[in-house]
Amino acid sequence: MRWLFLLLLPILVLPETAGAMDAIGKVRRERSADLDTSTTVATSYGTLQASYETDFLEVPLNGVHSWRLSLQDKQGQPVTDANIDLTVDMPEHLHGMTTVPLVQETETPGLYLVRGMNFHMPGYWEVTLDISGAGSRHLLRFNLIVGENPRARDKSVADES
Amino acid sequence: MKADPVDTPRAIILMLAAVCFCVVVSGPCKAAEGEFAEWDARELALIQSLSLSQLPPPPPSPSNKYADDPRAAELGRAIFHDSRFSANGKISCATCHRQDYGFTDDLPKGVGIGVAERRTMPIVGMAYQKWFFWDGRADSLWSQTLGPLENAVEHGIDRHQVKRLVLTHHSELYQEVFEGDAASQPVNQVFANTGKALAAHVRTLLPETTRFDLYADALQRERKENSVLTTEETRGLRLFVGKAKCVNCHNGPLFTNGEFHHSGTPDKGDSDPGRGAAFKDLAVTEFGFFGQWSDADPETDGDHIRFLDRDTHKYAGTFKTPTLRGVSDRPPYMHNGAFKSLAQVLNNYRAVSGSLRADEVFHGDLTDEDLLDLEAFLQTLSSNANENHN
Repeated sequence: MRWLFLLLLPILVLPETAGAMDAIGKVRRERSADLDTSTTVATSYGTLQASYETDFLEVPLNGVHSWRLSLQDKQGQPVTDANIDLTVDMPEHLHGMTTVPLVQETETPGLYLVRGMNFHMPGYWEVTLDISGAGSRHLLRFNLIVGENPRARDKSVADES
Repeated sequence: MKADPVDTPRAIILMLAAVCFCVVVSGPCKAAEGEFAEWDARELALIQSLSLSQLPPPPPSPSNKYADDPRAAELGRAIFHDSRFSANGKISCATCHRQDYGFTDDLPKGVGIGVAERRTMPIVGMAYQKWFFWDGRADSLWSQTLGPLENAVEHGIDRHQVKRLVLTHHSELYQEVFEGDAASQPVNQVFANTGKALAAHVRTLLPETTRFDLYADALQRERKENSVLTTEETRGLRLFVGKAKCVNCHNGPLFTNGEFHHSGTPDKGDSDPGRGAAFKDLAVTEFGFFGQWSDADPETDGDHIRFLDRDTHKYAGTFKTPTLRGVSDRPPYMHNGAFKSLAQVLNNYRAVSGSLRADEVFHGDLTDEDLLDLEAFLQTLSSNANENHN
């Protein structure tokens, strides 16, 4: 009967320690030197492509804002009625945002509005999209470096001259 | 053994190579002298992001249409300093938010009618914040200002007394600002308007230029180290945006992200749920951003509230990141006033780094000298430091 107890133990204990497991289960990852921060990403065979844009030159640090997210299939056709599960994480910190963004489909085919995005720390962020619809499921990921981009500074220098 | 003559040139080459290697390794030797420290692109970007010159004008306050009305601010200022708004006639907002002490006080916990549960928050730069109080249980500045008035250990009065006091002592200005007679308005409306006037005043309390800002501005112009900061202060700044990772939470021109984090502050067994207990307050208050007395458009404003992560478990024991501007002028520190000096704060951050007490705090392997340098840097964030050094 001991084996049965051992088998059941995780099931009984896990709900209580879910928060702790969340932190323990994740592995802290530093950003890679050649991090791809493209705003357009695609699955390896190009079956699905996603891109985003905001109202800002740089994704804002500490500012609640929206993303316009576009989905296209291999033929470049807009992907409609997709079910998008969006997760945002800081791999170097083991946590995500302090908001829970909402993905809404817009009237424009293939265009989705993500409301409530807020990157509240500078550094390396990952925005992962779990996209399902039309009998298939895809994982896509955007990498971002927020608040550490020297381009903003270069621009202000250019403005002065 | 006699050296083989064939080997001599090789030895010279090796020695030269070794010298070159040493020069390369100790490349930032200029930095060691503190005259022309090199900053990489990431550091430069972060330093600029902290500078006061990057601070935009205060954002609008959609829930308070009087937020930028100078007459409302005048009324708010009068009430802020009016100690008649208290149970014993001796306590005003300015009692704890002392202008001569960075708009906070020198006590571990604020003292009004009684002893408050937490340390008095500094209120400079509140116009830029999204959440108020240490636990963020208020979602607007005007809503926050109402809390202490009705708190039994702070001002110790209620909204009916507030209405009577406004009518008796401030009715003329109130009528001018709010275009209505307080006497004929519901008590909650007068109470909310009092908060909106107080908020209009607090919004005018803005940070002043510090030596750090002068340094960042000079760096922006010349792109190289300058003489505004000392070697220790420059080293502290490098740690702040780098190895010590302070900038993760203390970011932007106000040195705060306005969010909630585990800081690993000792609580002497007096466990405080912090942010974890705030979501209920946010949901039930009648003076909230989406409440009856708010001026916000519930369709378009307040996305930070609408999409807030309300995970009580995740945020239990977290507190709002306070601004570091003026920090060295206003001990004690943390939400419970646990530390009397910045040295104690820095020591604790080193002690709890990576532990379960502060699961998101990772400050690197800081040496004793690192902590001294960080403390030196923090002292450059006070405006009165200009007088000491210029």
